[in-house]
Amino acid sequence: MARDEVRIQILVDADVARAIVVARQLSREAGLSTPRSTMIATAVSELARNILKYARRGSVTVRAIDRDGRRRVEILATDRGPGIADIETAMKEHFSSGGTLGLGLSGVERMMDEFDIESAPGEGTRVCAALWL
Amino acid sequence: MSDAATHPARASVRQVSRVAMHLTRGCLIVSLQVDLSDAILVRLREDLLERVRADRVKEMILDVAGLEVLDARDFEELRRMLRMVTIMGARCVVVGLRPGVVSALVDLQVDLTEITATLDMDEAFRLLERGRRDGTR
Amino acid sequence: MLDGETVVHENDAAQAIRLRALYQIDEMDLERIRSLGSALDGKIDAAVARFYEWMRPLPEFNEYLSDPAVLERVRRLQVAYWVDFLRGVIDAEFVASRRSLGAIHARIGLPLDTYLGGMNSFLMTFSEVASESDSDSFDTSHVTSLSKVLHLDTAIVIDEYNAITKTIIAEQGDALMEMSTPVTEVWADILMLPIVGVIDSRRSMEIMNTMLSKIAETRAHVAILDISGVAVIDTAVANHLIKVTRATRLMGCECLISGVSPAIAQTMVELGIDVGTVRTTATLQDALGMAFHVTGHTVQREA
Repeated sequence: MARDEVRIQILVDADVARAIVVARQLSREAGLSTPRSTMIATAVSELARNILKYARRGSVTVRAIDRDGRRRVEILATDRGPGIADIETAMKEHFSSGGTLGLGLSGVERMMDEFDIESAPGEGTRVCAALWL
Repeated sequence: MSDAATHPARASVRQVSRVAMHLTRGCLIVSLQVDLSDAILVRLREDLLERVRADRVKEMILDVAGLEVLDARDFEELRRMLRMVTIMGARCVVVGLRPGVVSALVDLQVDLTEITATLDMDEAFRLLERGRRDGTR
Repeated sequence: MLDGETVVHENDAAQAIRLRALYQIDEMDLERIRSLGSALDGKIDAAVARFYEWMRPLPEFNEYLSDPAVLERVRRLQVAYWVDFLRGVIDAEFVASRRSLGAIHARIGLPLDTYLGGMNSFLMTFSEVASESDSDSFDTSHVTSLSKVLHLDTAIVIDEYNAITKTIIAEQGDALMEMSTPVTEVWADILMLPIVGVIDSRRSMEIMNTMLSKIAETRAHVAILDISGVAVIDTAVANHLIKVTRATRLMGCECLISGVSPAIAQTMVELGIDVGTVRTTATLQDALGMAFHVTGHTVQREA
């Protein structure tokens, strides 16, 4: 049965894998094309890995929803980790404090039709991203 | 899933986007006839990449001689599309950039280094053939 | 309920205290269990026999208990189990014995619902036997106490069952990973590794290690990483694949990446991944053609 919303706790590597597979399936069932479903899955992968790396635990929710008269698949990634002090810098192409190329967040922003990030030191991070159908 | 039936918006795009694509001597020639819109570009990109896979395209010529204007954003979009074609293993040559377009892009300080371009088709074919002999991309 | 070694862990005593508090079990409850125990004295064999009547039609019975010797051994252990239960003592040994019980059931793969069904069967039998024996001295408080201790007992078993199941799944994952990096020499001088599914950090390492040791072993000059079966290429995976291609070059082996689908091509470019000088192709066939070119093989159909 097609599910409209899935929430996955991110605690270990295997949860990231599960989030990817579930996100791709939900996107396809919602009617996104294969390339765009892959983009959702890739964004989920990117955001879930960030949670593991920086916050250790958090959750990723993927849902198909109508908003402002338009059907969309959206991702909500939240954690209560250390947060990001300077979002603008973190979004820059090559910034990373995690040891890999810091393409992740800016790449996700470019892939998505909508992207929003809220974070403050000690407050955790909340990313909301969406692709329209 | 990307049938026109399930995407009415896209179906109309398909009608207006007169993007001609044909395979000649193993080379996919894509001619942009009209000025670009976001919708046309998205559709073109998906169609083009699907074609590259289906026909196992190894060489592609993007003919932009029909374009009077090409702003930095559209150019960036086209460049990304060419990168996608490239990582699917095909070599790309851009043909027919007009002087006005080129000088505008230079003025806008767009990075043009990774683009291979020629003035006309013959030269593009010669370039691709040379690459084929060398076994490079 | 099969045989198993009981090893008391150092935190079992603390666990016993914690669980007693969690299930609100006081001395009165344990006293009631003990009085049930004396009422059931000599009737446990009958209760266990009824349990087997319940169990006999189930497929699990044939699966685990068809051997009469095993059945007899398990039966005796079970009697001992209930005698122990009805002693009304919850201490480190009690916790340890229940843990080992959970471990055994998980190891043999007995479904939890069968286990719970079995426990339920005993609860019913005990209630009946108790009410038959001396109806005046047993009331609902005895049933409540019995449920509390049974729940505690079951919780330990399930907890251990879960822990073991997780270990088993992790082991299966390891086994799968072993199989998931099958580097083969598809042609003289040419290696191929198809990557399927999701690549996590452990698998990344595995891919690197397997690839490099196979190159050392075969002295191949071209390696093909086929990613057509990979779910997503995010920046972490891409970085790792690029690292693999750099590493193989240091061993004199060019690494080609094949199976770049339109979807993967789009996400890689949108993410801003620059593959640099890595040679990539849409299909494995194209990569193989390229590999033949590099190694100087010519393949042609017979005329």
